[in-house]
Amino acid sequence: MSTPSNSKLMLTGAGYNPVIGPGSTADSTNSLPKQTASQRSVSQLSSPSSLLRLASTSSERKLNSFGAHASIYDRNLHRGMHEISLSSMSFLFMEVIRMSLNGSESLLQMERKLNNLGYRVGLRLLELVSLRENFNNNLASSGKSNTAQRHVRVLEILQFVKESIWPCMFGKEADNLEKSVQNENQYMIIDSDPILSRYICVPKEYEGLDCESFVAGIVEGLLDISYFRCEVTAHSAPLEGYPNRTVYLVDFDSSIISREERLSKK
Amino acid sequence: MPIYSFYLISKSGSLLYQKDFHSQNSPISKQNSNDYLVIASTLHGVHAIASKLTPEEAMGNYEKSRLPTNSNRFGLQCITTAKFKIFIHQTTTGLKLILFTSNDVSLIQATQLQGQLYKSYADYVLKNPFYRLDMPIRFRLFDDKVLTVVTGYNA
Repeated sequence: MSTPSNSKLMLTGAGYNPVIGPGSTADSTNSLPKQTASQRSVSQLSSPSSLLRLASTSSERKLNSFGAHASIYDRNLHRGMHEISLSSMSFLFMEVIRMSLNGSESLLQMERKLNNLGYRVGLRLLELVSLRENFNNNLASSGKSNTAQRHVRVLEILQFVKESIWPCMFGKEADNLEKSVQNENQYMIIDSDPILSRYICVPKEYEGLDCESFVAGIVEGLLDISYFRCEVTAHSAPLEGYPNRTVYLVDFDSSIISREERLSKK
Repeated sequence: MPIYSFYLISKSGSLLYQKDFHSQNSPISKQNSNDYLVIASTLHGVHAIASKLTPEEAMGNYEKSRLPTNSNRFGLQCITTAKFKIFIHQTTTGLKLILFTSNDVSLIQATQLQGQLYKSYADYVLKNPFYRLDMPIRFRLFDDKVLTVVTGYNA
């Protein structure tokens, strides 16, 4: 095989080529996988440099078969619509629950596990959502500031959770935000129809278990990382017509409340 | 066009779910739970026998009928009696949805309704982490959903 044809293969491998037309993507998918397969068998025995080559060719192959954007890292973080199928999400969440149910001895431990899983999502979600908000503000070129705002007041951050985090995760705002009457460091975020557990109905032998602990963990994670130390728990509070209505109880640390008082005096 | 009752039968013939719907002058009387099991397994057996008995010439009927989700190719589809009809719908996984209806319900209408019920089964039973396959279904959400689908049709 001569070098020019090889380099041409590389060029056509980079996705749709308007000069060649539809054939540009169709042809390369046939020829490239064979090549990578043979290279893979070689690289298992040989030096790290060939491993590097394998990595580069396999990424090329991804580019070939899926078009211009191959993995999630190649895509722009800002997307106007970033919707995923509810069915696949439900099946995934179902397996998450099964997994944490299998390895735990009590319902409390199981809720703890779900909470921990969500916590790690929350840590990352805050960053992503602020970034996307930034993009949107820049695109709209409205009077809003172009940099992400760091929320320092309790009400501000809870509003942010209700009005920005919820639409990003579930495509709708949370239904209500309430302050507890009995306890001044408790706030409640209320969702009448939580999407993740829309199809989930807890049987009698697991009574008291709330699968929305996962979402509570997300909220806890993102509040923690923005310096609002708290604990978040999920409680189901069904109403007529809303069998899965859930209350996320946010229990702030006393240091947060005293900080809040200090800030409001200024 | 009232619907009298609804059965779900697993691919091995065990009864997963049974529900009678209230309607005036229903010819279906209330049975005890053992009888429901007997009805279910009898229908399952009869369906299997019928699929063996289907003559060669009738094998093409399924392809002509174009019922999208129904994989009930050669088996029993409908039993008509003097007082009610029984419609049997089999999904690709071997699950059977059986409807007992009044005589004026057509096969098309029954298939539509069975499709809707199949959808709620796929949503509210299969996506529920607490459900074990081939075990009886006892979920309040599924109950509610079946009731709204059928009452929506009865009305």
